[in-house]
Amino acid sequence: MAPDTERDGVNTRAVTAEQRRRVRLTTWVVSLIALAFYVGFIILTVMRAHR
Amino acid sequence: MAELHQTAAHAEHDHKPQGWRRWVFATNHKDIGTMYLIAAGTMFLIGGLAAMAIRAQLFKSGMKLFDPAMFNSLTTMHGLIMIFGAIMPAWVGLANWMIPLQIGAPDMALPRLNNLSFWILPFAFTLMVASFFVPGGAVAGGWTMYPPLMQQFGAAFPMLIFAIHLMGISSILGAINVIVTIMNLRAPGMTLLRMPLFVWTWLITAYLLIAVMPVLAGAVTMQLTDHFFGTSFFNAAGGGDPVLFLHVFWFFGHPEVYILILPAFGIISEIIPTFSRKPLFGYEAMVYATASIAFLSFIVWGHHMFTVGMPVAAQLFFMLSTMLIAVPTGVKVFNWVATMWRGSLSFEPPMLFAVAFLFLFSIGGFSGLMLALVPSDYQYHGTYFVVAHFHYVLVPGAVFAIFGGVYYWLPKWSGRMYDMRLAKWHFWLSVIFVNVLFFPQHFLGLAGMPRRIPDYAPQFTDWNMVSSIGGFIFGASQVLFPYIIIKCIRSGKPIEANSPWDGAHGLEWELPCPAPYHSWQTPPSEAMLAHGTGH
Repeated sequence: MAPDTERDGVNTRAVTAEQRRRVRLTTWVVSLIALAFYVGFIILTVMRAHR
Repeated sequence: MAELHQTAAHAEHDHKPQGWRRWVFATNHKDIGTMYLIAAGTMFLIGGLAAMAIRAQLFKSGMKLFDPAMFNSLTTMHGLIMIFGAIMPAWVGLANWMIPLQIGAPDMALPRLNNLSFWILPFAFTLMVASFFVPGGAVAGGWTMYPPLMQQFGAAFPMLIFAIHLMGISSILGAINVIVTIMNLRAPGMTLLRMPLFVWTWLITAYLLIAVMPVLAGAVTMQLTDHFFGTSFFNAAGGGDPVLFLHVFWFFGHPEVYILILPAFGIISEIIPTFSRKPLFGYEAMVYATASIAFLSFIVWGHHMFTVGMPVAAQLFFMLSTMLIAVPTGVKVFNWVATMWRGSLSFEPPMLFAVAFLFLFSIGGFSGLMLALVPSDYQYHGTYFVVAHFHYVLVPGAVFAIFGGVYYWLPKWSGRMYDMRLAKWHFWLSVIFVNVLFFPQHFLGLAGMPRRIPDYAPQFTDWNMVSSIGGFIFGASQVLFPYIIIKCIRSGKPIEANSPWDGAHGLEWELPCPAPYHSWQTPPSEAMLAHGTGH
């Protein structure tokens, strides 16, 4: 989300509260996808390497 | 119009942080984009110097400029530096600069994360380049890092793995930022199918990054634990399987090729309509073709490893799925040509690079089809034909698109026009000598010259000399590029209009030149959107 007006000079008014909520949700979903690929591929490799 | 005045008025009192704080604590997408581009340019120079050293060693048979271990380090590090240090950061730099401008957003959605994504990189690059100076030298097993060869190097091995982790984290954080920004901060009225193609290709690229960078991180982590903690993921002596690494690596590696080239497709799709003065032919088809290429990139990894041995059914699957990629790629090339058809063409530097991209990337695409055929791949595998193929895709492909993109948007960034004559010199020297450099490598490969060798049989000398001469002139001509940019910023002719290109459409061209430090604080109006998107 756009940072503090005082500190960074970016106008936070351009971003609505609803957009903030959606930004948080999207960030979580995308981060979890990345984590799933990381853990998933290590698990797959362990299963394949030691079957 | 009212919005324009408001934006212009605001530009007059932009609250820019001053001094080093502006850069170290940067949260402005334009500043971070600039830092990415400077970092990418620096690594392009270092990787380019390694390339010059490689071509000097290969100038003729029997050259002894470097010992074989150093030569192998140079080829390995050239690949890693150019992929992870030059091209990927250049795309992220362009994304940072252009995505908020093109979708009408005030900044990236996560500006502090953006700062972190960038500032991880100098540490990663330092680790990677510093590995040349530790005992035993830099890793020399090829950019693919196959075990057990990779694990035979000294301190450089964990240094490189740590550097790759850092670069991977940076890429994942950057990709999260791009996805979150595009999905949530588009201007009201900008539906997904009104987004510029550069934004579309970057959205798809970001999803590719999210999916495959963690896989690379997992693969190198497992190598690390094999080496230092006694695990046996890829160690045959402990019941593991070295070939398994190839599968995991190339599951990352093939989508990585599209991470490097999809944003290039986006830029070409911006440039060609502008200088043809026509809307892009088949906009929706371009979007679906990009998505199809991204999907197919996940199911073709086996074509990189036909010769390690796999069932015939698997070979057939990977061969046919790879050839399928030619269909959406063909759609794209057809649409670019159809956009130019009966257009009012002009050939400013961005268009010159875009047209060269069309011809030369297609050559790389065709040699890719040849490599996809299992029976012929047995002949070509591990030869200079492969080197010629991927350099045609990445140099006149990805790098030319970066040049084209910078020449296209530099007036918007700087508010000044660059020296057209010098930029055309840069283009012609690049396009002639990139072919002198890489085309002979097809002949060398077909004649049987293996890749990754510091010396070769005398019969390969002639074409290697031609290739090296092409390389030296191509390399030297790249000095023009930073010179043109610096000259433009310092003393280029100021631009009065919003756009120096009369055929340009897109929200970025609705802003003044240079784009104000804080842009789109008021979202663009529907009228601007309709003019900007052209539909």
